[in-house]
Amino acid sequence: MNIKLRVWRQEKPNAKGRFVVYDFPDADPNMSFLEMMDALNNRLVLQGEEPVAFDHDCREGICGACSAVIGGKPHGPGKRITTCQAYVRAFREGDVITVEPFRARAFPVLKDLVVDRSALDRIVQAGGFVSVSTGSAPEANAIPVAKEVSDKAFDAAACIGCGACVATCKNASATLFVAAKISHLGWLPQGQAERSRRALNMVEQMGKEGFGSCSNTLACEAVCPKGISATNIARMNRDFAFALVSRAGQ
Amino acid sequence: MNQLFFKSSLVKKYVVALTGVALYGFLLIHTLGNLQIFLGSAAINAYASLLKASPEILWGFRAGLLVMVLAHGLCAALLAIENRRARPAAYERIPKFGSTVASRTMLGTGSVILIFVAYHIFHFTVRATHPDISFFHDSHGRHDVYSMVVLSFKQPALSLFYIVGVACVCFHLSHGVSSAFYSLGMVFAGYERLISRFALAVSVFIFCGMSSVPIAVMFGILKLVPS
Repeated sequence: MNIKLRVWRQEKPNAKGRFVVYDFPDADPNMSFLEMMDALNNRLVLQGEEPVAFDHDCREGICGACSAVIGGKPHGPGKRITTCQAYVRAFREGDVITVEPFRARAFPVLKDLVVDRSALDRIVQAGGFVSVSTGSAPEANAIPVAKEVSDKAFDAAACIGCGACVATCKNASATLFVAAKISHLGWLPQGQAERSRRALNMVEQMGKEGFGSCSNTLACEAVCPKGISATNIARMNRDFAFALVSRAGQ
Repeated sequence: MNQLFFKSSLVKKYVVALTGVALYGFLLIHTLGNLQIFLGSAAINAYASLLKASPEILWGFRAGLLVMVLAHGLCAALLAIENRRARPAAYERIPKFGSTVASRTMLGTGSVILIFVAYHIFHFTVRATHPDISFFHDSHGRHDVYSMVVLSFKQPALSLFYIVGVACVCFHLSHGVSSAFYSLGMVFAGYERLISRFALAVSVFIFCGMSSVPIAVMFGILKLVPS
C-alpha cells in the first residue's frame, strides 16, 4: 500500500514543532500501525536521521502506554482499540495520515509523539489508600459482593490510563479517567471507608493539573479503548456532591 | 472545603445544570402560556393580565429569572475560560469523534440566545421596538396581547427571526437537558439512550409550541378579530 505519514516532529519540550511528511510506498496492509512506525524509524536511522519518538510497551492493548492522535482520532481508526491495535489495512491506498501527539496543557510534549502523562498518576496518588485488614487471608465469602456490582467495578477498573479521553475532549478534560478511578473502588465494599475523601481529593487534583471541565459531549466514551461508560461521570458528580455536603457537616 | 467549593469545576457544573433546569421549567410554562393564543384573544389577554396582577410576584419572579440567567452565564463563561486554557496548542485535525454538534457549540448558541432574549424583552415586555402596534387595549380594558402578537408576526422578517431564535434555544436544549442529567449525577447504566431521547423530545416540543404561533399568524390561522 502506498501511504504518506505526516508526523509531528518536536525536538524537545517547548521547542517549536512541525509536521514532516514521510512516504511509505510499500506499506504491508498486515503491519500494525506501530510496526509501520518501527519500519519508518529503521529507515531514518539508516539515513542517519533522528528516529520518531513514540510511546509503546505491551503492544497488546492492555498497558496504556501508546498514544497519538492518528487521522483525527486518538489511537487511530477503529472502535475500542489502542494505537498498537491499529492496522495499516484500516487505511486506504494513497491516504495521508496525520499523526499528532495528545494535546493538553496537562500533557506537555516531551519529544515528537511522546507526552508526559504523569498528571494522571498524580490524580491516582491523590486518591490515597484503601483500608483493608491485613493479617491472615480473609475467608473468601466474608465480604459478599453482588455479581452486578463486581461487574460494574470491574468495568470501571478496566481503565488503562492511556489519556485518550483527555486527548479527544474539546476541553482536554480528564473527567472520564477520574470518574473511572473513583468508581472502581467506590462500587466495592472495601472502597467505602475513604469514598468521600477519595472523590474530593481526586477531583481537586484534576483541577490542579490544569485539565478542563466536562461538557458531557461523551466523545471520551466513544474513543475509550476500554469502553469506559460515561455513567461513571454521573456517578462521580454524585459522589463529589455528597462528599462536599458530608464534609461541610463535619 | 471553601476553597474546593469555589474552585472546583464540578460546583460550577452543578450551578449551570440547576439554573438550566430552572430556566427550562420557565420555558415550559412560557410555551404552555403562549399556546393559549389559539383559544382566542380573550383567553390570552386574560392570562397576560393575570401574570401582571401582582407587581410583587411579577418582579420577584423576574428578579429570580435574572439571577438564574446571570449565574448560568457566569459559570458557563468561567468554565469556558478554564477549558480554553486546558489546550494551549490546538490540533491540526480537531478530533470530533463521538460528540454532537450541539454539544460542541453550547457557548455559541448560548450567546445567540442571550441576544435573542434581549430583543424579545424589548419587543414584547418593554414594548420599545414596535410601539405603534403594542399598546392597544381590548374591550375589557386589558392590554391587547393578541393584536400585538398577530401584528408583529405578520411581518415575515420578524417571524423568521423568532423561529430561528427559538430553534437556537432548542438546539441548545437538545444537549443541555441531557447534559444536566450527567452533571447532576442522575444517569444510570441502561438509561443513557432514554435520557438523550427525552432531551430531544422536550426540545422538539418547545420548538413546535413556540414556533407554532408565528407560523399560524403567517398562514392566516391566527388573524385579527374586531374587538
